[in-house]
Amino acid sequence: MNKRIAENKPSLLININFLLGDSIGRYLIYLLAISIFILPILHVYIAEDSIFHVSSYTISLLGKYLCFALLALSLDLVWGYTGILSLGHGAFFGLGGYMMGMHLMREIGDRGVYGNPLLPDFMVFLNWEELPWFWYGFDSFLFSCLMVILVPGLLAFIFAALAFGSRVTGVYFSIITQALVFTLMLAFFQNDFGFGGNNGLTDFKDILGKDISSKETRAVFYICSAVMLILSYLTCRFIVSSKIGNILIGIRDRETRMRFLGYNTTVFKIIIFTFSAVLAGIAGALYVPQVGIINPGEFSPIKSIEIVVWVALGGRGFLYGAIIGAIVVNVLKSYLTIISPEIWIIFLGLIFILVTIYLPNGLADLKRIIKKNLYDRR
Amino acid sequence: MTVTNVNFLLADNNKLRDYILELDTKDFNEKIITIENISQIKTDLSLKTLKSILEGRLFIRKEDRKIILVDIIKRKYNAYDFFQETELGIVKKRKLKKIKINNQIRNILNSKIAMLELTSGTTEQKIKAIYDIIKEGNPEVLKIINELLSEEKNKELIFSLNLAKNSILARFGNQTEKLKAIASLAGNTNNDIVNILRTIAEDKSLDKNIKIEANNSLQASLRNIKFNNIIKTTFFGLSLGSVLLLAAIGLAITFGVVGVINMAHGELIMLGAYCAYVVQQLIPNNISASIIISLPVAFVFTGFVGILIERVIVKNLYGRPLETLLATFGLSLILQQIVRSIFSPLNKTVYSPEWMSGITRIGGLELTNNRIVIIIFALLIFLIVIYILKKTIFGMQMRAVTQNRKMASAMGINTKKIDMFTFAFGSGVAGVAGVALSQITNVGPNLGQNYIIDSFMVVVFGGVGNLFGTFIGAFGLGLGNKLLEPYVGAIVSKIFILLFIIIFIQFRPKGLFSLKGRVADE
Amino acid sequence: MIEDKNILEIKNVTVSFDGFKALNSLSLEIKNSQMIAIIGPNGAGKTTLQDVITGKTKIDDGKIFFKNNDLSQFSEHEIVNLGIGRKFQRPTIIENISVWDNLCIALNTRKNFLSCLLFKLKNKDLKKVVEIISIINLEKKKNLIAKNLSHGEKQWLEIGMLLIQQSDLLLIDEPVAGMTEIETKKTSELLINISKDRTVLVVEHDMNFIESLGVEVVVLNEGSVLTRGSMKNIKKNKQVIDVYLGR
Repeated sequence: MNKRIAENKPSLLININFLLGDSIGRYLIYLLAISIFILPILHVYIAEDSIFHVSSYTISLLGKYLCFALLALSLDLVWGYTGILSLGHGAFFGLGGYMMGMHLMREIGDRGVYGNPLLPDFMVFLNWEELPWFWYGFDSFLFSCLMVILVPGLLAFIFAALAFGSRVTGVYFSIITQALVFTLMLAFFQNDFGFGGNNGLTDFKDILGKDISSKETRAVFYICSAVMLILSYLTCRFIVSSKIGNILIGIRDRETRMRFLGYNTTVFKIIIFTFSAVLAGIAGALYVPQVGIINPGEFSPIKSIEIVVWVALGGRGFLYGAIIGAIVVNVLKSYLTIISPEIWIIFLGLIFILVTIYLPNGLADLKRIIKKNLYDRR
Repeated sequence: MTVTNVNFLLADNNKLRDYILELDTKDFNEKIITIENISQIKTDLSLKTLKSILEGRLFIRKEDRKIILVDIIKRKYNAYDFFQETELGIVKKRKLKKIKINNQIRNILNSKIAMLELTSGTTEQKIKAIYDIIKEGNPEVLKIINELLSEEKNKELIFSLNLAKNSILARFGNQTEKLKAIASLAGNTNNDIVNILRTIAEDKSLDKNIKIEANNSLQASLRNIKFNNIIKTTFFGLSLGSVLLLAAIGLAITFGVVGVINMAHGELIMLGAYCAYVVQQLIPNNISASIIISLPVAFVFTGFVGILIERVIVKNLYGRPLETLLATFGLSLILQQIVRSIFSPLNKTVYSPEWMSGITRIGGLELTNNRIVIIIFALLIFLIVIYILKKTIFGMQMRAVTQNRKMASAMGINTKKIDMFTFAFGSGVAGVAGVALSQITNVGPNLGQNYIIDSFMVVVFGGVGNLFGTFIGAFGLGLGNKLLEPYVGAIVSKIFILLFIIIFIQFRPKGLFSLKGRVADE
Repeated sequence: MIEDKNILEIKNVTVSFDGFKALNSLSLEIKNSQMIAIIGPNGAGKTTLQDVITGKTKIDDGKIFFKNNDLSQFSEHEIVNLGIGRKFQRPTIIENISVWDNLCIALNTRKNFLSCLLFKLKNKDLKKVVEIISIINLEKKKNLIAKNLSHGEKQWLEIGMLLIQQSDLLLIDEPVAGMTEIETKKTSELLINISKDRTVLVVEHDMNFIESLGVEVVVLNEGSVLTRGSMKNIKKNKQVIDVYLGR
């Protein structure tokens, strides 16, 4: 009897096979892992006129999609599982990006337009005499990586501790996260805030001594993005497969019950939110060298709300849904904006409306509806 | 211009040219007579002549005795033909002959210029000339001012002339005149007057009594300036507050009563503004009428759009506020794009009726009329909304649904119908706000986006479901923003206000005014 | 623990909402391993009483001691971990996970983040879950997602979650509201069964149900205790008839 029951509770066991029962996620991981080996080789070693050659545009584009997927994954953890809708995840993505951007700025050294060995071009342009204190240390790659984690993490921690500590929930929380990202946008647009104002940080030259736009570097960026996505996915899967997963769902569905079961739900929410923000920050840091620029536009509220639609379309609370959603929406965006930016905006608006009303579980519902219709016709 | 006029002008110009050439003499007495002659011509050009001589910019070219006006930029002489105003390029100094003056002539020139300026042109121009006199402070002009004062009937001019007279007497009069003049200048907020008073008060060579009197007057002026600044800041704050109130009030209704987050609220405001634009295109000849007609048009139109939103989107998502937020956000994107496709992405101008443009002067203050009208309009809309909520059956049912949905339903109120009409009502109010905002801002597809976050902040800050809270929230944030602005600048003050609200919500999650007890928890 | 000791002592507790006194200097003592039923008309303060015991509502005046701990020093989840379990009027379970998982998250193990992340079901916990699942009669439905249970089953599951939490004091709000007759009878047996080794405080409107429990009754009115005693005596009490039964 006992043995039989023990078999029925895989979700509560720590088990290296925690991927069992997550077949889509598993295939996704295999696919990503294979791409790590194939795409960079096709990019670097295959002649450019061959049909198998992957152009630098394509590999950067794919790398960018993976960063977005990581960002979506981080949002799914807080929204899909814990029920906290953050309309400001772009804040953490952007901050992570800025931290990496600052390092790349310092890497330029005296090769800028003004040739100042210490000050980035925009500071020389603004007639600044010395480097602001918060730019110190960013000449070190390791220090910058540390900041990529610390800065978004710390902001998220303080914000979450305040908000969840005083039981700000639901739409109120969503609205103040939007206000947070909006505030950051206004601040970063300011020239004297010290982050390049309107233009942001750009014109990067190299990273760890390697030319930032060379084939090899781009291939490495792609590998890093894919590896980071796989690792993050596995970590998130590990978390939600442990007892924490059920607790998070409990917090989402009935927070009072969880509290009356003796859980300090506030602490759980703070930890998950902070962890999610760190993932978003890492996504931003991987994104910036691949697109070559970071500017305050990343903090615009609409960008943050777009992340939400990726997750909504892919389906909340599956983890792999967020990844699929991010990639599907961004591929569509790439194609539709080429056809006509207007069509893309209308289309994006329609996704918002249709998904929330008709597909609360995202593409999974779409599959079910299509199946049902086919079945009915037969 | 008639032919005779042109001839007159030509004759004047020829006379002027001859006089200027006569100035090329070493005899200063002769020059004084010529200057007197020039000032008798009384045209714009003669005034320009006198000013140019005073500034040392008038020259005669040696080779053809052409009269040249010169701009001296970095020691280079950039020459213009004085009469034709054509550019002649850079000219060497030695090819020109300057019309030289001495101190006596300088004084004469000053008074002649003042005379010319004070006796010609519109009242506005005259007042400007008087304030120039105050700035320059030439005792020679005193005589002219006195002459003008004896004839002048325009009150505004008399006031300005007296001010000028006293400003001159305060510096150049005898002991008693000085004292009297300084006392009369007390409290004046004009920058130049304040400087004059400050100079006198700090001048060690002057009599003690005069200095004390000057200091008293100066303090009175500084007090008034401070007071004016407070009034001005308050006015700007109220003006911003009224804009916030207009933007937020519709949201307060839909969010507070129906409990629905409508992210497309800003777009409803935008549609209202476009209603004003369209109505104005239909009645291009009567701007006043077009604005007034567009108010009900916008109310009905956006109210109707509100009903559509409620029926198509919100109704399907009651009880799922986060989903409602996302769906209405999607809608806001679509509405923006539709407007962009129909009206182009460029901003449209909605003209203001005359009674809304211009400036009202109160003391030393200048308040723009459109802002005054918006403040009054916002208060009016607020009162009407309050009246509808408190005194009509519809309002009573609406409040019943807000406070206890189940009970209201049990009392026979069709809560779904009330939800729909409330949503329409809130949307209609947003449209009306859009018409008002079209008067002070550019009307473009992105108009709504600029207000949505602010509106939410106001509603959340004031307390959801409490219109009075929205009122206090709007004006509180408006005033706070403008009070900070002089110290930190517009954007940073906005950042501060946003941070303040974010932190404020942590301590009072339900806003300034909120329901308490068990009902509020559910 | 000594049988006759008071597990819960409420001393002169007052709570007011905007001037309205939901609890008015209420005092109540409850002994160990005892079941008590609380009745009272609407607005008597039954729900607020449970709110203050569990720390959901802060008290304005007075003190509450649980096992000699002053409860005002503790936050909601800490009070739970002291040994107070609460069952809400409407079934409050986690609808989107299985019956089994619902019981597992209620298990009285360490409830901090790290312990939960590395949680492993031990043999003794496993036995307990199996035991409770049989007590609440849900053996056949243990793998069902909880939202698919019937109303009564959800109520039992919630009671099961409280049991597995090993609370010494259970607060149960209207357990049989909306239940069928058979379900009501089963619930009554369940409560009598579990009150053998813990204290149970039941709030209920259904007089027949309370009578079937055969326990001491406390009558609340206008935020304070009107009287307490056996159901038989309560029914004869003039005051009680006036405020409650007589209507």
